[in-house]
Amino acid sequence: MKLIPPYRYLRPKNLQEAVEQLGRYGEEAKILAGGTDLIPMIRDCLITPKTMIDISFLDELRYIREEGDMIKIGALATHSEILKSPLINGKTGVLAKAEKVLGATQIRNRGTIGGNLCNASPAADTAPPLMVLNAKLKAISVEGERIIPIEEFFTGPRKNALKPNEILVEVQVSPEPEKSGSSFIKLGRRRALTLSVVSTAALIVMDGVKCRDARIALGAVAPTPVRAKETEKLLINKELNGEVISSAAEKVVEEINPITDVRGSAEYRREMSKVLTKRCLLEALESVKR
Amino acid sequence: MGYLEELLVKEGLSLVGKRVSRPDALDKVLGRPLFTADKLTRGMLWAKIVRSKYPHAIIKRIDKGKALGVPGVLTVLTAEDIPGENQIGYAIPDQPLLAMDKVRFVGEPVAVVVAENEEAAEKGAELVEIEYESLPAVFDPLEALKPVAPRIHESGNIATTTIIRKGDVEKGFREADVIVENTYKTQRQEHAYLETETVIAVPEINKVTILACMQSPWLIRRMVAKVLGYKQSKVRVIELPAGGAFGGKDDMIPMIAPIAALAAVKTGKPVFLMFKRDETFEASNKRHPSIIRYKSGATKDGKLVAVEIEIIYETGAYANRGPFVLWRATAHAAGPYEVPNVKVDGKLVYTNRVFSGSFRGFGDPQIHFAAESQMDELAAKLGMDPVEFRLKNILKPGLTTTCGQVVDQSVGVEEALRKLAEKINWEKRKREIEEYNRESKRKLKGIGVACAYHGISTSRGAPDWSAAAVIINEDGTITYKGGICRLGQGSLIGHAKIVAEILGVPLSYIQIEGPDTDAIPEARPTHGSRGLMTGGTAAADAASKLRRNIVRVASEMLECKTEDIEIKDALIYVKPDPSRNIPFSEAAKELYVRGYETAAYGFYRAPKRFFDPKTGLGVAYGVYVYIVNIAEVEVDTWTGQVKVERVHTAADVGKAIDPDLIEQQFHGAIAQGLGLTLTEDIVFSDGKILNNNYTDYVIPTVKDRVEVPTVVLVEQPYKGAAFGAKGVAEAALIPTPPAITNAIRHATGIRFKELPVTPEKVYFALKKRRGEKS
Ligand SMILES: Cc1cc2nc3c(=O)[nH]c(=O)nc-3n(C[C@H](O)[C@H](O)[C@H](O)COP(=O)(O)OP(=O)(O)OC[C@H]3O[C@@H](n4cnc5c(N)ncnc54)[C@H](O)[C@@H]3O)c2cc1C
Repeated sequence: MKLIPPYRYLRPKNLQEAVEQLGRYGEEAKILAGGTDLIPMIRDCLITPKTMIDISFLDELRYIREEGDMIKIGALATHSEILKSPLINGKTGVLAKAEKVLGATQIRNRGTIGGNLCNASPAADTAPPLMVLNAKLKAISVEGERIIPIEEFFTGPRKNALKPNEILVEVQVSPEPEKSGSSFIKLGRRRALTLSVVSTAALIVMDGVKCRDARIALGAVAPTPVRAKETEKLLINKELNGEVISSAAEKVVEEINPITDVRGSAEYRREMSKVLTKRCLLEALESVKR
Repeated sequence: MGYLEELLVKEGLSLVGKRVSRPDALDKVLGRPLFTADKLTRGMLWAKIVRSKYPHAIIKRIDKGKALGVPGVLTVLTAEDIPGENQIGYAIPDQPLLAMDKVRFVGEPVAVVVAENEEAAEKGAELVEIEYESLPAVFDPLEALKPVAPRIHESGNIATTTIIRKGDVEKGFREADVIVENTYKTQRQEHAYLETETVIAVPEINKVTILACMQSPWLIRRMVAKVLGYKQSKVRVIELPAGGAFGGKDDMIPMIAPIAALAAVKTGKPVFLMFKRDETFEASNKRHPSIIRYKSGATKDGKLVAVEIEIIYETGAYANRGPFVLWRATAHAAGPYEVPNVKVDGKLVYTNRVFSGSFRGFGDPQIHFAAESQMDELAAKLGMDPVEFRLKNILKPGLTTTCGQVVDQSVGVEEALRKLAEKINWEKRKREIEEYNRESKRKLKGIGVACAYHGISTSRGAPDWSAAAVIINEDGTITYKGGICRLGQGSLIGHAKIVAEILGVPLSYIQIEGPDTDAIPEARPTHGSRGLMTGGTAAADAASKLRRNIVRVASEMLECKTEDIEIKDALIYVKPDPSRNIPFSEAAKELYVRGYETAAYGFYRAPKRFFDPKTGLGVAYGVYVYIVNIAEVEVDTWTGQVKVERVHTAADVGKAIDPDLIEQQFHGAIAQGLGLTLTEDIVFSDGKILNNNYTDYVIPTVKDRVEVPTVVLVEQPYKGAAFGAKGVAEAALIPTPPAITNAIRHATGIRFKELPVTPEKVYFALKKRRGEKS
């Protein structure tokens, strides 16, 4: 155990002030949301920020609402809030499914969706569902606003596309389309409080028996959460059945690059990527609302 | 009739045998109990242990200078500051309190920084400069046994050996129609208690007081006295409730209390020492990893004729309790069966990893994993049902154990197995499952049985006793001073029920006090499932003595014969004429007024045991607890995940003082056994632990908890203890791993011989078999 070096603690009154503070301290500062990733990392001295900007009190970033054809989730919405939201459960079931198995009640009460994404763990459980929903992420800095497609957001293990002075403020997703089905499956090492060894999200849009669109994303099997676009291609415009899905799922190993660690071997992760992709697609197909 | 015989036949019991809700339950749920860390007060100094970063190295030089320069640091202590003996080895004097010339594992204590606050202690600890010369290290017990291996101790890498020679195994195997031979491996398990090791030491003039969570107050007293060069009377040890212990605190507190005591005596101030979670992972004892080669033979009509067993237990850097753990495993090696020909050879092997030690089951889970896997393999080879095969060999009164001990009483394992199999409808359930599997593609179900026995209390014929005391207060309330520690298991609640039952008062009359070495004579440790049985018997002795005085004074007050006095619900009356009565409190007061003894000490002494070191044969334990688990599992063949759906359990407990307390132990033990079977494992790289946290050391959560829908309590009384009760705290853990792996075998046809059975292992084993089939 090492000693945590002293740091400056700031608690901005509003988003505007937070943006200014981050503009001022940039590189040496860290945003503190729920703290469930940040505090353990600081305790273990994996990072030693000089300044901590605590945004957890900014209620203006805590919302889940529908605007036009978009569902907008404030960065400070907690996993519990998202899990309980009728809007999310009704229109983006794939995200609700992931929230249900994220951490445990205490972690879900405290951890935020913004923190989960910004922490950029390859195993972040909200990443695969948001990837299959083609989420857009809104960031703010003293220089203004920008929208980052989720596919461009994760740049490496614990690395994201935000500039040092940017705060993630909102996650935007479109509802799951008509005649679509989705699923999320997490393989952990126990039934709660477990990081994913492999996780998979799938969303398919059907046109009769034909697949009009297919999206697959996986977690914990590459330096970042990944979309499996080549696998998706094997499904699009095909008549979907068990066989087509099974053989497509084999392809997924070409799109991942897992490592061996104490949570599982690369070989097992490769095998499970296939198994979970298949299961996830079958479940998605099953759930298609016709 | 002695008081023990009287208790065995006592009728109309009002507390013993009943389910009484624990008086401490609500407080625990509300977070009210105070643990050791809650006793930290302003003015206490912080001690921080400086630990070895090397698995094996010579200490060249220690420079305290920079650390002493940190504001707030008062002193830095090393081996040379120890006034008494720098020796804390339990079974063998091989372990220094603070490393002297050499370190033998990553995490070994080398120095102690004592400071005014935590920050200064941590900072000081970082600045103690230790120069090492690295030595080649050995991390694998099989490697350590090779002649070329680096020598960890001067005596070599074998800490001790054990043997059993019963009958003639060669002859036995000649008579065998089937022989099964396998090698089993089990891993290192961490106790994972909520509360880490914590100690407070308070110096007084020529004396020191220790307050801590613990399991062995009198051992702590001996160790502190030894290290400080004090007489035992100059050390007082006060036990505080523990946030879990499981054997870990049996070994660890005696190893760290002397550090806090040394710091307190050197500075003249109270000292607080608490392990961080990573220290608990890296530097506290673990369950012994094992490698067991097991050969068994049986005749075609299902009689076991011989077993030949080679046991290797890895003790890590120090022997600690290892010799006793290995001996226990050796003495139980054949399982709860009569086997005429037994050959066992055990080795306790040093490696440069954290030392092993006491852990619920104390060597028995590993050996039963092997023994009970073998039983199922033999049954399969013989085409026999696993329950039927076990019943043909099961221990019964008059038969002999692995080490030739004739078991004469309280041998209810046959009854437990029969009753449990009947209650859950074993045959039918097995058939249903096999039918389900014929239809099912993805998920396979299985059911498995395992039996176990576990000698209560201490191994190797070591003398064994216990003690307790009762005081009757002037208002009739009773202060009970137990010698058994409060680990969450509720032994003292069991004792209090015994005391209340004997005195004829409600449980609420009893004030329970934990051990204090200045209050009662040595009661021996809280381990080996001995807390209720030995401590409770001492409590019964004390209560019976006190009762005699109460009866005498009451007979004077009521002017009747002592034989006519009865006490119930705190009312003392004359049996032939209950209208002549007095309240309990009046008799209490009168005891004082008339000058009778108002307190009593109670003792328990175990029957003599012995063993012959040349053959390993003898009487290993006074009595055994017997247990049977039946596990039901579901295997996901797509992922290799095993879900343990249910564990049914049955045990011969002698007498259930409280069925609730017993079931609580079963639930906890099965959960811990589940972790041992499926997920828990300490992973090393170059002698350093990679998963020193709960993210990656995977214990079951409340969501993984296994249902225990069936509990059968068999009560064949043990005449040597109060009311016939035996201990149960470890029992249910022991057969849990083999019950689960036997169920997996039933589900998949695959025998897993190594723990933990992770999804990965299951998946690839299934895949390999599919490949072999196609
Ligand atoms: C016991 C435990 C179990 C867990 N289980 C899971 C699990 O099953 N699945 C899973 O995916 N995760 C899990 N986690 C990780 C964690 O809880 C989640 O990732 C959580 O969503 C993080 O959110 P937070 O608000 O606590 O983030 P914080 O810890 O506050 O922040 C995390 C990181 O993101 C940055 N950050 C936060 N918000 C913003 C923002 N708006 N703009 C810019 N940067 C920001 C912070 O600076 C920090 O670097 C677990 C953690 C613990 C301790």
